[in-house]
Amino acid sequence: MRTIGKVFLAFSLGFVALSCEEEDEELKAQLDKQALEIQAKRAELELIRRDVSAVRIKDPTAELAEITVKVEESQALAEEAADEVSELKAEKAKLEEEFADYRRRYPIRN
Amino acid sequence: MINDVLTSGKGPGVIGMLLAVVVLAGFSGLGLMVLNSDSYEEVPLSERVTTQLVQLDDLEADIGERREELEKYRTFQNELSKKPLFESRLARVDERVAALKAESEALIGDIETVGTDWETYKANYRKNERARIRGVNYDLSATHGEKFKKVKITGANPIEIRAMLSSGPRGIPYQELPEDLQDLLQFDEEEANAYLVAIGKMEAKKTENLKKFDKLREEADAIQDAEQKASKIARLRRSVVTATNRARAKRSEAAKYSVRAQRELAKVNSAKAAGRMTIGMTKVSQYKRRAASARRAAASFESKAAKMSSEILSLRRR
Repeated sequence: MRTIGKVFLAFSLGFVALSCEEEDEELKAQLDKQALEIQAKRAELELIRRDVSAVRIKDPTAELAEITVKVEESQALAEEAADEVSELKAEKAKLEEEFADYRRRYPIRN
Repeated sequence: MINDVLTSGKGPGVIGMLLAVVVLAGFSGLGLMVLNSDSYEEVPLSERVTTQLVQLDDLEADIGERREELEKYRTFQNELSKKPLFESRLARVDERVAALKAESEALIGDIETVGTDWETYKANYRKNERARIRGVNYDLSATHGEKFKKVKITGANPIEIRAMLSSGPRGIPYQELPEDLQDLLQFDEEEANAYLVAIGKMEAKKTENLKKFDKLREEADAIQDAEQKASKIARLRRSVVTATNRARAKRSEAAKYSVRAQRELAKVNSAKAAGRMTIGMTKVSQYKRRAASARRAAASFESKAAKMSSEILSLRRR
């Protein structure tokens, strides 16, 4: 009877194991599919990393802002210089006119 | 018991037992296969699936971050591509500033040139007018009274005109002249101040030169005095030597005449002792006189030499 019990136990285990094996097959398939996905994602990530390395530069915003400030300063200087030139031209014209008046008023007589 | 098992009357029989063994072996083998499969490893399959899902999520997140990073760097690249444009704009503005500054400097130069030309013209005008007015009679009675009715102007400088009055020549400061004359001769405070400064400098220079001259003259006088003193000392030294030599000669001469006088006196005494007449005393007196005269001369020379030596010492001390 004991032998019969053992046989029955083995039979039961085998049956349960068979049932589990069917369920595992599905999970294994899912694992394989996910492993492929992971591999693809890793490849994609590697490609993106390479792209990042290729285009990686320092943020140029500050540098551009500095140049912009310089441009603004230079433009201010240019405006100032233009005003000065304008004033000097007016001063020169006035001085020349006054000098001409002076010569007319005080001619050197022989 | 065994017989019961092997016999089909009481038990399953031999065939039944064999079949049971085959079935048992088959299912046992199957059980062992299942037990040896991956489902019995340490990590269960469901957990591995979950781990993989987490890995996938992590990878997705990482890819997302990297994409954002890539996008950021692409934006940077895009921004950086504008840099040459910015620099070009800056260069253009700088060039404009430089051009305007150059123009400004040129204009300053032009203004300075006009100013210099004006000053030169004004100086020539003044020189000409101030030369022309020389010798002209001018009525200054309005500002200086009737005595200045007909004043002859003899010259003009930046601070005054020189005029000849009945009382003599006189300078009249330009501030006291009529406006029209001031305007004609173009007097102004700036020119007057510059002239006064120039005069002050000239006087200072003259005083300095006079001081230098006085100093040089004093030095020349001192040198001349020193040369004269040295010459006098040299001359006195020579005279001292001469006087000393002559005194020595006179002393020698005096000694010689003294010896002769003594010899003659001895001869006279010996002639007197022999009862002979002699005129030797005359020679004795003559030698003694000569000896005395020579001694006086020697004393005189020695005195002179001493006096001159004293004078040399006195000159050296000065």
